[in-house]
Amino acid sequence: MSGGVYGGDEVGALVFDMGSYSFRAGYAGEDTPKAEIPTHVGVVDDIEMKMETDGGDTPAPPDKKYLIDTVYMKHARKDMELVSFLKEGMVENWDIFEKVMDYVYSRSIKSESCLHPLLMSEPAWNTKNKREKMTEIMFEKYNIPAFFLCKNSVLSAFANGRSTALILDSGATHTSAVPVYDGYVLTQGIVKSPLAGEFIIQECRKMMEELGVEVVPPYLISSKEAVPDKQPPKWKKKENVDVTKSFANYMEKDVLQDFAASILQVCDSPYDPSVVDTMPSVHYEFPNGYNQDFSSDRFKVCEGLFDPSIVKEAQGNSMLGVGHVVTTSVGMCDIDIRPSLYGGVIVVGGNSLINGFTDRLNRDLGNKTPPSMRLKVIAAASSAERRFSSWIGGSILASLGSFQQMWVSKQEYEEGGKGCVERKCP
Amino acid sequence: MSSGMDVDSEAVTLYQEMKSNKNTYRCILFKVSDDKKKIEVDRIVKYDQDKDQETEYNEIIKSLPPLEGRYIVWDLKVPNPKSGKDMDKLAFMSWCPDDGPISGKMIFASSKDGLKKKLQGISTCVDCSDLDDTQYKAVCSKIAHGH
Repeated sequence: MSGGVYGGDEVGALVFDMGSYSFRAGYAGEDTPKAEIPTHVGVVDDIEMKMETDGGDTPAPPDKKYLIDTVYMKHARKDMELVSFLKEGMVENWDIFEKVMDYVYSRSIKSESCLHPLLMSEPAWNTKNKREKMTEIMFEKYNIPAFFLCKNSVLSAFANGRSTALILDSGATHTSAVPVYDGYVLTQGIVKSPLAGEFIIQECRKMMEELGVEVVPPYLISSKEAVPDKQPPKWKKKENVDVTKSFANYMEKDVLQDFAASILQVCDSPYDPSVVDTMPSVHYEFPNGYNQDFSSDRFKVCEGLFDPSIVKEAQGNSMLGVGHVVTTSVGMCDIDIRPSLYGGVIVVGGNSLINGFTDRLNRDLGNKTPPSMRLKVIAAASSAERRFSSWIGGSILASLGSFQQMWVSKQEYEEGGKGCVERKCP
Repeated sequence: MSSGMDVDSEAVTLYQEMKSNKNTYRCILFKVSDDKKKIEVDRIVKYDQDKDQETEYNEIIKSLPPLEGRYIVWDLKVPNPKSGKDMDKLAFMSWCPDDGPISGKMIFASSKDGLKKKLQGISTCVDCSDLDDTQYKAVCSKIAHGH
């Protein structure tokens, strides 16, 4: 076997990019990822005997069956728990991670892992242990010919033509600000806040409770009829649907997420009921047929992102709003580089696609930026570029012929051990 | 982190010449080669005694491509912030327009560090992503202050 020969420009490299909502995988050099797979995976105990072994000293853990990708995991199934293998953007459950990898190679990429160098993104705060473990698994288990780990914020900065920038990433579980200077992350300036996609969904759920709207995910609906605006929905429930709490929760979130993406709007200026009342309302129909116009509520729900003080719970006061995340992060960096950071605030992440997000951020930061510094907020217009900015960056980088000398090759791994990832991929 | 792109040896030689003979070249422009394999010299602008530095600077800025990146090394006279006397300074500028295509920006930005390392003796680096960033006064002040 000749092993990993990768010369010339045809590297055939793969790019994997993990986010707390989805996992993106595809070939380097392409415009968009080939596959986007939810980070949540359905887990079912394969053996029904589990209950009966009760009382034994150490009952062998039952075999688990993993259901990966939208089609399988969003299908209602008894006793299926939905779990994520990530925590704070870092891999937490390595077993599930490997299952997902198996799936990606066999079903999405449809090729052998040993044929393709792999560039993988990681959060800026990834730990040394997890980086080394990742390297070990990819080389030992998947036998890849070459590997590279790259901070997703650096990829986003480069994809926007900058080696110095502040990356504001508002994703599913958190909003983070990461200062990048000369192509390296300034770790001391990383700021994270839980005000992100999941938070918005929580707020939507609260709003629905207040309005008395029942959120019914499609898997519970067997039939429905059209009803007029604000009338009680006429729909039939599917019989015998038995699902776990985590599944019901995930599916309900799914509906609310669609609601958030289509209806919500961030105010241009701090929330003011008298201004918002004059804004046009937007119509939304839920999966069960219930429909109504949403007016001021669609502004109020996402105000908490920028102004946590309006969030009812006490914890709201201790969290940082989006604008604050940026200013805090810049404030923790050296005074000489602050102008360059304010001059390149790059907005990425799926949650930043809420209507009006960048406009409001621009306004909030405009008020807080020192007058001597020029503020520039950059956000890609297309949703693909914003959601996949780090994947696209990795795709371009890994397809470059010159980049081949940067890879950690299998040989280097065998000679230097897993520690070589720290040296070659700072 | 960088793309590992090579720098053409001619580019480095030219820069050395510029460094040892001040006031020969006004600036050297570098670009990523069309086959994306190395960084090469795009063009050279000779020092013109008859022209005012600001006019010349603005002419060069005007000639920059609107959608493509260029690395520029300037030989400029800037006033010393303390004494006010002119001093000769070499400065590095990166021109990477925001409106350009994403692949161009990615390659340009990830290769910058490699070029900078080859051009030893430059302390100041000015990053420009639109024409507002290139304003003569602001750039000169950045160069004079060293950041």
